Amino acid sequence: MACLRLYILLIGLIAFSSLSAQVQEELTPLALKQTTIITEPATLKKGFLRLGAAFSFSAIDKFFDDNAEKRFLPENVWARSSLYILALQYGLSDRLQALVTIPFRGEFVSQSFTLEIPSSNTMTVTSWELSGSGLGDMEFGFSYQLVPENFARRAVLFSSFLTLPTGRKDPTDIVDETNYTLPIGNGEVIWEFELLWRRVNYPYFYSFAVSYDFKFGGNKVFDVGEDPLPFQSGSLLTLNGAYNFHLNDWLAVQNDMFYFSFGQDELNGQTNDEQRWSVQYVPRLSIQAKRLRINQSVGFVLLGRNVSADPTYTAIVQYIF
Amino acid sequence: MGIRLGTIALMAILMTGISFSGHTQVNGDSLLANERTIDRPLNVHQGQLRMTMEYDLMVNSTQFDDRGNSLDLSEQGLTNIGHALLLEVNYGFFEFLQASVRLRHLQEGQRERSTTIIAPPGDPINITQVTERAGWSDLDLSLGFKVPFYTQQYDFVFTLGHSLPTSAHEPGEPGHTIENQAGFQTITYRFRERTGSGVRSWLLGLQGKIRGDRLAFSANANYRVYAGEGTSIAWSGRLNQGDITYTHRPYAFQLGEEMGLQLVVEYQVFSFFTLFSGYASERVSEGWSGVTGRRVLVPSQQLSTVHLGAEVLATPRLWINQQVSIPLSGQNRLVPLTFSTRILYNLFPFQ
Repeated sequence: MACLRLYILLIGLIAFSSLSAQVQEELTPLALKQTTIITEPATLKKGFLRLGAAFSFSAIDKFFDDNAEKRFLPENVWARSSLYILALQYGLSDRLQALVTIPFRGEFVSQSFTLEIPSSNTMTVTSWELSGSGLGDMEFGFSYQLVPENFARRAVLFSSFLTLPTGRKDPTDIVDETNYTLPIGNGEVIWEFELLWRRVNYPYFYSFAVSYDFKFGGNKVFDVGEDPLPFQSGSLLTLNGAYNFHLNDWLAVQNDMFYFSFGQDELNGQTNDEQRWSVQYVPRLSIQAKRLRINQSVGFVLLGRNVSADPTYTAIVQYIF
Repeated sequence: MGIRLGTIALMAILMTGISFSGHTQVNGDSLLANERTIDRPLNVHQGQLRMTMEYDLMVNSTQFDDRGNSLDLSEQGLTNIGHALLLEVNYGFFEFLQASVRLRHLQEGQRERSTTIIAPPGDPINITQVTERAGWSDLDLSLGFKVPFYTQQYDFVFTLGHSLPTSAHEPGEPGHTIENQAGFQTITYRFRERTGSGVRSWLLGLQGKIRGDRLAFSANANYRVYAGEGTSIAWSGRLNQGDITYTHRPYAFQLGEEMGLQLVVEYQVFSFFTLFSGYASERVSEGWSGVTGRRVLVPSQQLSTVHLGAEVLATPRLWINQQVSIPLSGQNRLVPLTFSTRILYNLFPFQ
C-alpha cells in the first residue's frame, strides 16, 4: 500500500514537472521576444537579434577625495561627457550570445580664469572651450550559460568582452594648449571576464556577479605638444548584486549595487599609488511594450575614494527581431 | 431661533458625515484603479494617504541678469549640478479637505571664476572659491479646501498654509585650504550656505482643473509672504600670520514675497499613460539685506519655464512621473535645466 502511494506520488510529481516543462516549451518565439528584463531567458534564443541604442550623460562637479570625503570641485571647470551606443546582441545558440557595441562619444570641457597683475594695474579674463567627438572604443564579446537555465530559473553565465582602442586616443588639431580637439578613446586593449549567477522567482529577480578587467596599456599623449608616454591603467575588479522586481506585467524596477576597485595606474614607468574605489547604486526603470524595451537609470556614487561623485544618466531603447 | 439654527447646522454636519462615510465605503484601491490621471481630483480622497518623493537633477548653466540677458555659464566653466529631493505627504480628512506636509532638500555648489594674481617677488597666487548650498528647506504645512465636494468635470482648491523655520539658515563657518605646488600658491575658499529661510511665512494658493474625455487643463497660482524680518550671520576672514581666521557678525534681512503661476495641459494617451506640458512663472519681489552693514536692496527675481513630461500608472497605488523643465526667460537668477523623477505612492491606511 505504501509502495502504491509512493508510486502515485512519483507519477504525480513527474506529471507536474512535465506540465511545467510544457509550459516552458509552449512559449512561442513571439512570446519569448516579448519577455521582460526579468522574465527573459539568461541569453537570447538561437537566431534572435536584439538591437539597442543607448544614451548616457555625466558631468564633473563633485569628487571623493583621498579621505573618501565628497567635495565640490573647487576650480571653475565644467566638463560633460555624452555617450551614444549602438549595441547588437545575437543568439548563436540557446546558450551562447554574441555582443557588439559601437560607441560614439562626445566630450566637452570649458574653463576660465582672471589674471591680475597689480604692478601694471591690469586684469584680464581668459576663457576657452575644448571639445571632441567621434567613434569610441568598440567592444566585442559573448555570454555563455555555463549552468543552463533550469525550471527553477537559475543560471550561471560566463561572459568575456574585449574592448579595442578604436577611438582617437591623442589630442588632434593642436593650435595651442587651449585650442585643440579632445581625444575620445582610452588607447588600450581591455579584456573583461565576468561570472554571473541569476535566479528568477517571478515577479522577483536576483543576481550576483564578479568581473575583472585586464588592461594592457599603450602609448598616448598626456600633455598637449609633448611626446606620447607609455601607460597602463589599473585593472578593475567589479562586484555586483541586483534585486529586480515587476511593478506590473510591463514595468519593472531594477536595483543594482556595484563595488569597483581600481588597480594602480602606471605612467612612464612610474606607479600612481593612489587608492581608488567606489560604491554605486543604480536604480533602473524598465518598460516593456511588446518587443520594444525602454530602460532608464541613474547611477549614484554613494561612497568612494579618488573618484568622481557625480551621477550618470542612461537611457536605453532595445528592439528584438 | 438660535436652537433652530443650531439644529439645522447639526443636521447639515451629520448629513455631510453620512454622505462622506457613504463615499468612503468604496474600496480605496478600486477607486484609484478606475481613476485616470486626468480624472484625479486636485485633493486626495477622503482617507487617502499620498506619499510623494521627487528627485530633481539640475544643470545650472544659465544666468539671467537684471535686464533679462542670459549668460551661458558653461562657456566659462561655471556651470554646476544641483540635486534636490522633495518629500510630500498628503492626507484627505474629507473629500473636500486635505492636509499636506512638504520638505525639500537641496545640494549644489556654485563656483566662482578662478583668479590668478601675479605680484613679484612672491609666487603667483591662485584663488578659487566655491559656495556650497546644502540642507533642508523649512517645513510647509497646508490645508487644501476643494469645491465641489465630489469631483466631476472641474474642481477648485483653495490652499492656506504656514511654513515653519525648522531648518538651519545661518551659514556654516567657511573653510579654506592653502597649497603650494608647481610654483603657485593656491588658496581655495569654501563657503557653506544653508537653505532654511529663518523666517515664518504664510502660503496662499488657488488651483483649478477642468477635464474632458482625454484632455485636462489646470492652473495653479500661489503666493508666499514672510512674517517679518529675519536675522542671520555674515562671516568674514582675516589673513593672520599665514592663516585665515574667521569671525561673524549678525545682520537683518527681509525676504521678498513670492508669487507663482502654473498652467498645465494633460493628454490621456492610454488609461495608464499621460503626457503633459505646461508653463510656469515665478517671481520674487524686492527685499533687503544688511549683510554689508547697511540696508541694501535685494533686486526682484523672475523666472519662466516650460515643461514636458509623462506619467505612468504602474499600479493603482504607484505612479511614476518624469518631466524636463526648460528655462525660457528670467531676471537676476541662476536658472537650471531640470530633470525630475517623481514617485507617488497611495494607500488608504484606515480602511
